[in-house]
This record gives sequence, structure tokens and C-alpha cells, in this order.
Amino acid sequence: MKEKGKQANMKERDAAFENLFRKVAFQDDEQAFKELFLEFYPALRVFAMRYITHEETARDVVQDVFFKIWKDRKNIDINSSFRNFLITSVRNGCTDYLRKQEMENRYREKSMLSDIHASPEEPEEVYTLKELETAIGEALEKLPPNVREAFEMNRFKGMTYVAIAEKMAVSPKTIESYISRALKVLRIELRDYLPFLLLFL
Amino acid sequence: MIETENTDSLHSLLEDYEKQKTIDAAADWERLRKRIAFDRNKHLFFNFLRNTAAILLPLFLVCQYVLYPILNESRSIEETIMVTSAPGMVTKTILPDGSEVWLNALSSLTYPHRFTEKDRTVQLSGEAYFKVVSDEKHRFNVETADGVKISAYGTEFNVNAYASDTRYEVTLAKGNVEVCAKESPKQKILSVGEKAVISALTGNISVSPADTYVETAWKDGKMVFRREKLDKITERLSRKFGVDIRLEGDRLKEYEYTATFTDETLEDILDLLKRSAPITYSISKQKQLENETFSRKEIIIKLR
Repeated sequence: MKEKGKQANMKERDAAFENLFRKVAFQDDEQAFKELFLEFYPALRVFAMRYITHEETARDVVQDVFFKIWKDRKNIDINSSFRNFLITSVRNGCTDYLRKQEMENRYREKSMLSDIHASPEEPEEVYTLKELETAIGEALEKLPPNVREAFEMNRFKGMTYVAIAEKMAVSPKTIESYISRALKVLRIELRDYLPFLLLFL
Repeated sequence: MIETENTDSLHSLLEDYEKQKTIDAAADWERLRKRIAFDRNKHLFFNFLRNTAAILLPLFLVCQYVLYPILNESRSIEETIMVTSAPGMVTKTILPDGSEVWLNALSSLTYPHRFTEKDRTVQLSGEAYFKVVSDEKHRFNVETADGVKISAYGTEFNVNAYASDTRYEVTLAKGNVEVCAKESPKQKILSVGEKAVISALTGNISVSPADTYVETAWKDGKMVFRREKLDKITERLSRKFGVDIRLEGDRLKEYEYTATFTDETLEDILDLLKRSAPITYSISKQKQLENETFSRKEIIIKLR
């Protein structure tokens, strides 16, 4: 039930993105392009950094991808979804960059590229900031308030167990159990968003 | 083990989420927007250049190969053309403004390659019939060697101004013309069917009615004489046939003839003249001259 809900949701969202892109392609709608950019840009930046650790370079690659999409908007033919098109474009942009790097640094036996070559067709997922926010928000709703508070302080504010324990006036041991409980619940609630392979383990 | 891996993937998801939050998408959109705008302007600029070139290039070519030569041409107004008619021939020429000119035998007309000055001016020696294209802004002037000037805007007229003659004649066929001798301010305006006779020596102009058919028949290859004195007739004949005709005795000059010749030969004409008056003629053979050219035939007319 939950799975279906998430998938239907994604489909709906993807359809909305494709509508926006159609506006970009047929009406040269820069505002629609901006919406798409703002929606996907953070996710793609993070995604690109899986390949290119250098932040500036990753940014340039993603910028180039969007620039080329704008320039080519009339000729782009989207097969599966705009999201997948973006993922493929950024991945190609990264591998192209790395290939060039590799040519320049031939002497380096082991390049970052070898890792990518291992599984080039590996299915990859990219979730937008909004999607993650919603999903994580909903998952956190499922937690008891004190568990959630402890988890958020640890996770998003980077506080140590001891500091949280002090603040909440409980023992660090309790905090530890809160965190592990929170992780367990989140793992279940967010299983649709976690890499597919891990579910079987 | 399973627990850790799952936790790791959850951690990476949460990490992903946190990293995304730190990215300033709005700022980077601004970068991209500028790049797109720059690219568009670059395109517009190149399109502009290309379109400008597309317009300017033919314009340049037109200037280079059409306008420039025309301007150059108009600058070289010194360039004049001279048309000469041989004995016995009538030559027709068209002037740069479209006016037509028939040149009688042994006449020459000088005119500029293009009419660039205010007046259209041509120089005539001999006899010509002018059919001037009407142009109110540009007067049409015919000048003769002795300073006689015939001026008009658009008419048809005949000018007889052989240098050997002591008088010039202007006969008007259509429209009106103004005749004046250069030195004197005297000027006469002719109306249709009138003839001005200008004395080459005194510059006096006298106007009298004329038969335009007689005066202009030469351009259609005819010689028309109406009570014409024999010396005038022989002058015309010598021009038409390229011969020298000598009259022996002053009394001969007083004979008057009325006749129209079209395609008769010289001998035919002389025989006709002989038949209607007590005269006789002899034709001398052409003589070879010292410089290996031949003299003209000489015809001597005497009283019988």
C-alpha cells in the first residue's frame, strides 16, 4: 500500500516535470526552466559528487548539463522520464570529464573511473530536496516526540549523545537506545528510498 | 551486519538530504541565467552581423561595379564623341539624351559622352537635322564654328552650316528655337515653317518663310530644289557624289532649277540639267597624284 502510494506519487511528480519541460521546449518558457532547475539542481549536484569529489568541477558539470538542455531544448527527445534524462546527462557529463582527466593523467594507474566502469548501467535514483524533505518528515512523524527530538539533535545539529542526554536530562545510554530506535523506524519507513539491493540482505 | 549496512544506506540518504540543503540553487540559477542570456546575445549579435553583411555586401558590390563606374564616367566629361558623315552619305546618330541627329554628307557633329552640364551642347560643322528630346530643364544648344548658336528645349530643326558657305541656315520643322550669333546680342525666335539665314561675316540674322520639305528632304535621301541657283545645286551635287564641279562663266550661276532627285546617278542628273538649259558638261578622269592618292573627279559645266 505504502509502496504504491510512493510510486504513484513519483509518477505524478514526473508527469508534472515533463509538462514543465514541454513548456520549455515548445514555448521557450524560461520560468518553467527555472522551476526545473531549482527542483533538481541540489539533487544533481550531490549526485555528481559521487563521481567528482571536487565541488567546483561537479558544479560546472551540472551547470553545463542544464545549459546544454536549454540550448538543445528543441531537439531533446525524452524516452523514459525527465528525471532519468537528467540523471543520464549528469552521469555522462561526469564520465566525459573523468575520461578527459584520465587522458591527461595517463600515468595514474588507478583512476576514479575504474570504479564507474565496473557497473555503468547500475540503476541510480535521484530524489529532489522536496521529495526527501517530505519523505523524511513523514518518517519522523512516526517517532515518539522525545525519540525524534534526540534523533534530530544528533543527526541534524551534530550534537553528541552526552550533550543530548544533558539537555534532555536522561542518561546517554537512553539516548543511544532512542537513536537506534529512530534508525530502525526510519529504515522501515524510508525503505522505498534506500538502495534496492540492500532490502534483500 | 545487515543492520550496519542498512544503517549505512540510511545514513547516506540522510547525508544526501543534508548536502542538498546546503546547496544554494538560487545563486547557481543566476549564474546559469546569465550564461544563457550571454549566449543569446552572442547569437543575436552574430545574426545581426550576418544579416548586416547580407545587406551590405550586395550594396557594396553595386557601388563597386555599378555606381562607382557611373560616377567615374560623369567625372570624365572631357570625353567627347565626334561623328562624321562621308560624301554622299547621311548618317544617323542618337545622342546620350535620346535625341536623334541626321548628319548630311561631309558634316561632323561633336557631343559629350554624357550630358552633365546644365545645357546640352553640341558642335556642328556642315548640315544636320535635329530631333531633340524634350527636356525643360536642359536647353539644347547647337554651336557652329563661327559662333552661331541655336538654342531649343525640344523641337525638330535643320541646321545648314557648311564652313565653306558664307551664310548659315536654320529651318524649323516643329516647336520653336532661338537663334543668335555669339558676338552680337541679336537673337531671333523662329516659328514653325520659318528659316533664319545668318551671315557668317556680319552676324546678321534674317528670318523668312521656308519650305521645310525642301530643306529637310536630304535626310530621306532626296535632293529637292525649288528655283535654286545652279551654283547651289552643283555644291550639293559635289557633296553628295564626292566630286568637284566647276562652272565656267558667271552667267551659269544665275540659272535656276526646280527638281527632285532621289536615286538618280550623277550622269542622269547632269543629263537632266543639260536638257533643260543650254549647257554642256565634261567629266575629267581621276589623276594619280604624287603622294599616290587619286584626285577627285572633276566636272566642268559650260554654256553651250
